[in-house]
Amino acid sequence: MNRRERMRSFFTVPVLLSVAFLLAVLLVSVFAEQLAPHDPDTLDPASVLAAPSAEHPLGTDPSGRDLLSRLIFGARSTMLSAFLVVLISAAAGIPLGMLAGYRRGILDKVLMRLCDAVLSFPSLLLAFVLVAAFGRGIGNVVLSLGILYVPMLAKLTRSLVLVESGKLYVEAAHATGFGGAHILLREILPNIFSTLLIQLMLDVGYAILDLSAMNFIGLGVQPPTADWGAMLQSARIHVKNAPLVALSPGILIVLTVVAFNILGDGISAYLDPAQRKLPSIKRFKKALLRRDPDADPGSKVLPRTRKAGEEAAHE
Amino acid sequence: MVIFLLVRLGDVDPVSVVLGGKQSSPQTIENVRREFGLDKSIPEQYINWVKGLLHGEFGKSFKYRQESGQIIFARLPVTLSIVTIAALIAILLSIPAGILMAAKQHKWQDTGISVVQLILVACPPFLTATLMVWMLYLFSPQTAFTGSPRTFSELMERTFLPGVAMSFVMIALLSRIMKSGMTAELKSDYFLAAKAKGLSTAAVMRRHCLRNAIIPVITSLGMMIGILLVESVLVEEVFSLNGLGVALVEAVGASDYPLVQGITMFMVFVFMTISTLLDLLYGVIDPRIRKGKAI
Amino acid sequence: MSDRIPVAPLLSVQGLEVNIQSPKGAVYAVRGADFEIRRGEICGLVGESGCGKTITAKSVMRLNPEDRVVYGGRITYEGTDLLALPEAGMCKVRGQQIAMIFQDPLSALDPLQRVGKQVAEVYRLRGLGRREAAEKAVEMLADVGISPAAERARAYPFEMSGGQLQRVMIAMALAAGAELLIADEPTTALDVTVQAQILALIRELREKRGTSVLIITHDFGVVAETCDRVMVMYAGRIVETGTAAEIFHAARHPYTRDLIASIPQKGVKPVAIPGAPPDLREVIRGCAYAPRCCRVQERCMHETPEAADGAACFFPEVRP
Repeated sequence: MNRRERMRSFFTVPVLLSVAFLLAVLLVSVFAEQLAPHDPDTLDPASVLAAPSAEHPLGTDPSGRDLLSRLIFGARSTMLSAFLVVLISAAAGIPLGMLAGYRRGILDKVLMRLCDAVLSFPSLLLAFVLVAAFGRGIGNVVLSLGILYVPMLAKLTRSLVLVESGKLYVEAAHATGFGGAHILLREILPNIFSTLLIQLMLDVGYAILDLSAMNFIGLGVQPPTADWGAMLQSARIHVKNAPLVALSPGILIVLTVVAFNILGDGISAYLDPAQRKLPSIKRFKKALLRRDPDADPGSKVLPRTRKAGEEAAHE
Repeated sequence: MVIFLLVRLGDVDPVSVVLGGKQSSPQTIENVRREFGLDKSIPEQYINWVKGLLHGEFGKSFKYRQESGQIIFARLPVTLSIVTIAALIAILLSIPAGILMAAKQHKWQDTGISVVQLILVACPPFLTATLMVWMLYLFSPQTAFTGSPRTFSELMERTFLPGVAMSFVMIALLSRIMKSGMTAELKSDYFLAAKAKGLSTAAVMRRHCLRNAIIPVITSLGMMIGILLVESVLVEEVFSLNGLGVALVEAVGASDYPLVQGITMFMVFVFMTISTLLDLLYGVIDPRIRKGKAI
Repeated sequence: MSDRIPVAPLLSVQGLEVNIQSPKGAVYAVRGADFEIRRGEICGLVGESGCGKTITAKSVMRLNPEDRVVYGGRITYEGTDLLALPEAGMCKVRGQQIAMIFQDPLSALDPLQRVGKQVAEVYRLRGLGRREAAEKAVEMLADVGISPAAERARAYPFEMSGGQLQRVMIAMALAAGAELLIADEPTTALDVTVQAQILALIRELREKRGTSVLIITHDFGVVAETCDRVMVMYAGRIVETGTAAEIFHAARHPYTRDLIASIPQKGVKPVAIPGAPPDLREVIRGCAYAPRCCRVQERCMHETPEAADGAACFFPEVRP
């Protein structure tokens, strides 16, 4: 496939729509101050749950705050924390995975055991435990989720490094006498970067979902911060008389996550049509990824990582 | 152990949790410490806790001053019922959906269901639940749920919609797995060989492919149920049900360590039990596992 | 010529064309193949891999993915045009009239079901009761040389050896009393000693039951050992037909000759055929073998030779 064909296969209508939507959300969250008609936290007891009007284009929320402004600032809170989660996990997961995949040995075994143990539990449960340890608050939630996203990424990185390490160009670099750091950073990383990027893209989507869940149950952002998950929570009891107020943050969550998923799929289709079949990327929750990514992608899923879960139970 | 340590790592003083932040005399604080065994060192506390676990005691809640076990069992039916309903709906819908997608690959049925999957997967359960509350209000405004369910039928009535709300994400995930499993089976040699015997495509799928394709679904089912168990809090909240999830979140929010530990341990225990049961189920389905042949 | 009684062949394939659509473009896998299989004969279909042998066989069984395949020509089995038959009618032909066995018997059996049950399924399909079908299946397994049949019927595929599995496949294929057995590379996945046993079994079944067999192979050893008649396929067409002796010792088509010359034999240095078979996605003008042929002439590049006296070649080797 030449470059032009690949571009064409990338810019399908759904991908274009997703890109446009995500760009809009990003722009809005960057320029929230300039775009929002009102301060998102100003209470106006006189107009509680007001219908859309010239002053409040989407009406007001249960505390009389301007809904549009809160959605705009909510976009900032949601996107920022989701990107932070992914950044934390990438900052820890990618180097760990690279080291494990390159050095092998004890470090690799221990790390992968740990990762399997973490992955064998529902991520939200561990998030609760971590937040219980760190204390509630959005900072701690972001940190906890960031940590929980590490194992998945580390495993993926490791398996990619393993594949690349066997290739000729790495051996050539060895033969030339380059050191481990050079080979990892200058030779291997550029080659696995695209696949990692897709995973990061999808992770942002999941991070939005997980964050909104944490914010929804009140462990994350504290009032009066505007956040889509928290907004849904505070408005949900009013869904009967003000469905727009209650449902609009949720709909934005769905659209954003869908857009990230489509984009991730689109990029993987662009990079390599064959990679579409890569199961580690297609699957949704990292929790589902219980099989070893080293395994042949076509092989049947069999309970091979179950051991890790059993061991974790005895810890 | 990990759970125990993690929870203890926090810097909140448990005593203030018990006493609700009131100013108290040193004597009261000392009494509270003794009551919960906090006067002992951390390793001793851990040993006591493990001993308790062996006796089926999960530790005493700071906030409720009650055995966690009692709280757990009081809250369990709601959560369990939601999870069961959600899992059943998910299994019953996603398997046929996955088969349909595999059989009609690239046709409108397949495309249509994939679009639905894409949206369902991105729908947080609390949004679906809120939507349902709204629908319920629109179509039968007089229905009002308050208080805890007492009888079994009340329980079913109250937890059915939450279960449906929880099932959506699972339907999307399971049907995706079922589809890829079935697609692989339809490409297999034995599919052709069975057709060569004179079986119709539908008969081959029913008699041979189904069992083979369902194996990956079972693999993921254990994790699914674990996720359901935890995420059930998201819909319990919306439907104002007092389930296990709500208790856990409240305990996390209130730094009620023994209760967090207790509920977490309990969930892990349930999750492990289910995983073990599913392992046994593999054996029933796949003779290669039953006869200990490594694949 | 009136003394020859025209016996209608069991299977007759005329001008078969198979066009498979794929995301990467259409593949013209079979391009006008003509051949017949007579009653009680073992017929070999040989050629390099990718020349359309397997697609031809699957077309006879109509086992190609129907939504992506366009057929041309006719496949007539005992007077019925199989290509015109609806899927429901085809289900009655498969197994009961024409049966097929595959290259890798382990993957051609359902891994989760006992082999006896898989054989019995054929009888169940014909309306037999569970017990009766199971008994018949054991009988059939014994017929193909599996012993103790009753015990082995309770085994799962992964518990059996390749040779045994291929026997099970043959049992399964012939259980419904098919008159034509299509064997697609039946011995390729097996050890040499087991190969001979399976081929002996196929010959024996022909003697006992009068089953006609079409063996698809790229192994001339198999052909020499088993077949009465041989068809050589190249680029989706049958280029030469003849008895096994004719093909081996007096082949007329240059491709057949080159192919035989490329077999490693004692005392003779094998000669590889230069070049590669044509890409079946492209239109081929003239004789498909012309670019690799040592006897190529101007005419071969423009006209497609029709089969005449066994070989589809303008300049065939003249028989002594």
